[in-house]
Amino acid sequence: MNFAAFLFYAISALALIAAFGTVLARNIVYAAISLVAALALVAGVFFILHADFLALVQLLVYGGAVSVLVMFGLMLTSTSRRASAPSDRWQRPLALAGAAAFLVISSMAAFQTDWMRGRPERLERVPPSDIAAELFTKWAIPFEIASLVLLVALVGAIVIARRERAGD
Amino acid sequence: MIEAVPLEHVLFVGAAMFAIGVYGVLARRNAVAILLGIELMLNAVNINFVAFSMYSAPSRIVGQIIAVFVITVAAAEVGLGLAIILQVFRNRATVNVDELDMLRW
Repeated sequence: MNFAAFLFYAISALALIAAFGTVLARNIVYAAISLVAALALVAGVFFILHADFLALVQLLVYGGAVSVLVMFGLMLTSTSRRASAPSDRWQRPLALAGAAAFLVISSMAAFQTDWMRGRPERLERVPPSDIAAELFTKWAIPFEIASLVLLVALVGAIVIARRERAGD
Repeated sequence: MIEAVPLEHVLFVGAAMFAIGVYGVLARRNAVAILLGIELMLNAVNINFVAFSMYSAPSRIVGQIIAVFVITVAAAEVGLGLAIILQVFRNRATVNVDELDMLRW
């Protein structure tokens, strides 16, 4: 096993541990912090898969924007009383069973499929300029629609979250 | 350029992260924690997109472009979701989804 493969397994294991921390932490702030760690480690996985551009986008959008947004959301919705009542414990085994069933079925599908071109000897890096060339020619219209989606979501979020004044 | 990790192992990482996200969405009570689970699921999907794009797609670019779109929509989703949760919190003083049952009779 070479160094890059070792790095891949180490970083993915850490990312999965951070993901477990996100869903299992009792304190919601710890959950948000481990989500940020998990997202940064996923960016590391992208780096190892030679998707450098996507790794940087991941770090910028998730490490920067989304984590700050989630922290603000937590700060503005914090309550002093304990959230989880003891009566909802029956949902946890069901959730665990559903997630485990999904994991078993999808990983069986992944391991039993014969990926015809699935074993290249080595991965080749895609230069970001190639991605830009394709994104702004062939994918220009979806790109513009995505920017419109972001704009509408931004305006909508402001309208929804705005505090209504008495005179409005 | 390095020797490649088997595709199945990358897919397993994606599947495991998606399953963890599913568990988070189903088991957590706090609405913000449910949003965090959805973020995990979206990232797991991105891992799969990148893996397929790098290993078996005819073009190694398309999967990355779709992953960029997924990240864009996820950012819009988290912004809107937190705005809605904030407004619910102002009206009901709780973000526990079990207590938000006004539409149930």
